[in-house]
Amino acid sequence: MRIEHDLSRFKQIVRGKIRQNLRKYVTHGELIGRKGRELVSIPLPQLDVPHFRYGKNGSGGVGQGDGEEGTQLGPGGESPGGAGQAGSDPGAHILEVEVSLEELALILGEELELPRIEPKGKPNIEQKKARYSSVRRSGPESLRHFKRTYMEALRRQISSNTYAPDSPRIVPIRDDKRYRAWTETELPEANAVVIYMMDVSGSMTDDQKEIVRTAAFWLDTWLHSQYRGVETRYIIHDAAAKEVDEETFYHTRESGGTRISSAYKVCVDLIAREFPPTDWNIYCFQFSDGDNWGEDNEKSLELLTDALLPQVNLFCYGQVESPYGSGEYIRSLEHAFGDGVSKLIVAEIENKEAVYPCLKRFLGTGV
Amino acid sequence: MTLKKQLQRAIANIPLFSSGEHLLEISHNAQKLRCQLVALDSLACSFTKLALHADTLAAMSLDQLKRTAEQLSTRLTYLLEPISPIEVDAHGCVVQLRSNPPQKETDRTSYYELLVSRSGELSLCRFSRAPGEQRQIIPSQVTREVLARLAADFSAAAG
Repeated sequence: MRIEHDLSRFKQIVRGKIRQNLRKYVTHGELIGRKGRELVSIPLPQLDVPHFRYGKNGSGGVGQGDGEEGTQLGPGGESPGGAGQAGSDPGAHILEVEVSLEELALILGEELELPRIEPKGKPNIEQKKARYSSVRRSGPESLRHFKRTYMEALRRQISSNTYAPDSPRIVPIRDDKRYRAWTETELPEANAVVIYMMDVSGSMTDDQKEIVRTAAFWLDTWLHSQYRGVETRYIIHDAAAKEVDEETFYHTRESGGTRISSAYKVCVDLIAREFPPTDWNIYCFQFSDGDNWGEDNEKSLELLTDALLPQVNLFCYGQVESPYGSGEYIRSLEHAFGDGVSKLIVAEIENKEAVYPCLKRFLGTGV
Repeated sequence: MTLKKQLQRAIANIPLFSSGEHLLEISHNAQKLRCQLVALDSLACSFTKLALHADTLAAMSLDQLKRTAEQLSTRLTYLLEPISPIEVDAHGCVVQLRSNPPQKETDRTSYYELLVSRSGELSLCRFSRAPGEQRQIIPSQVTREVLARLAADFSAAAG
């Protein structure tokens, strides 16, 4: 019990440290990597591990000797070695702890005060889930319940007077054996798809894509905590758009011009083909430097208004600032929609520090 | 007489001014140069847009436009910042070149933008943007000699 208590206390400390530094992790993307889809490693440089501190033996101290008025408490004076020398020991290592994505999402939600997402439309699809929650008299040996089997055998031996307390041997017979059994329950499972769209045109630098990567990681983490089995799709575009896998999404750089309408077109087709809005909650997150080629703004706004917004639960546009700061698309969106469309959230992400407020803006709606 | 010489002669005939606008137009063979001057003195001038219209550009493929853009980026080494191709719009057959890196000041970012388009135009403007505001064209200030050199380089790149 003691070790469990310590472990629980340690987890509490780690959680507190993550919470304390969450803005830093979000801002600087200090997540070393994802292990599978379950755990992330987080460096915690300031976690103090308790340790003994030794005093100086034989050099006096509080409570030793008679003492007179004016006598110093403790050793005082200069240390015998003079000024300190440079150390030769290795420096303190950064402690890495593994945290589940669910735990991380919980901390994120608490810190950003995010509301839980309420699915809209036809939200639930039943799915059968098996749970080992009962015991049977027959079953495969691999599922034998040893404790129950022992108890049955003990009970039988006591009741039949074959149990000898001075020689407590319990021998189960066939009728004593018990096996774990499962029951199938139908759990409601909301269907959600997250569609990320990113501008990979020539004006999007690696720094900007790093910002997008950081923002997308946290968005993904939060949405996965809200829905089971979230589908994630990725679309990249310059003047032309295509659906790609996660790896390509984050590591592609093209030199083409920026035509946002091309991404919208692919997104509309994808929704029509695979994710009917009557069965799916659809979340779109678009990132671009907003440097759309002039005449494309009109076409993009038309597609967004007529084809995308009516189908999605939420459409978020994050404009990452390019070295030229020349993106005008966010102004076009603000001009066209103002504050009149609750499904549309826009945010300017000037630098990595702006990722944190951007997440709050995007996810704070809870739609 | 070359486009450069014609420009030098035309500019010499314009009275000096420090406010207002003057559209300078020069034609040479199948090329037409337009310069929107906003100030002119004995040594230098300011313009908001310098554009060269050439039929040869209209006949170029996208790859040829890209090569023209590359040529320009190697020639135009005498402006405030180096210029290089940033985006290529295959749909509209336009190559966009910009200052790389742009000039960053505490309160604004400024850069040149040069478009080489199959519509037949090669144009140069300078933009500036303060945080939270829209970008605006600002006058490019160059000496008369640099303006003439720009005209010559545009003319040579357009073939």
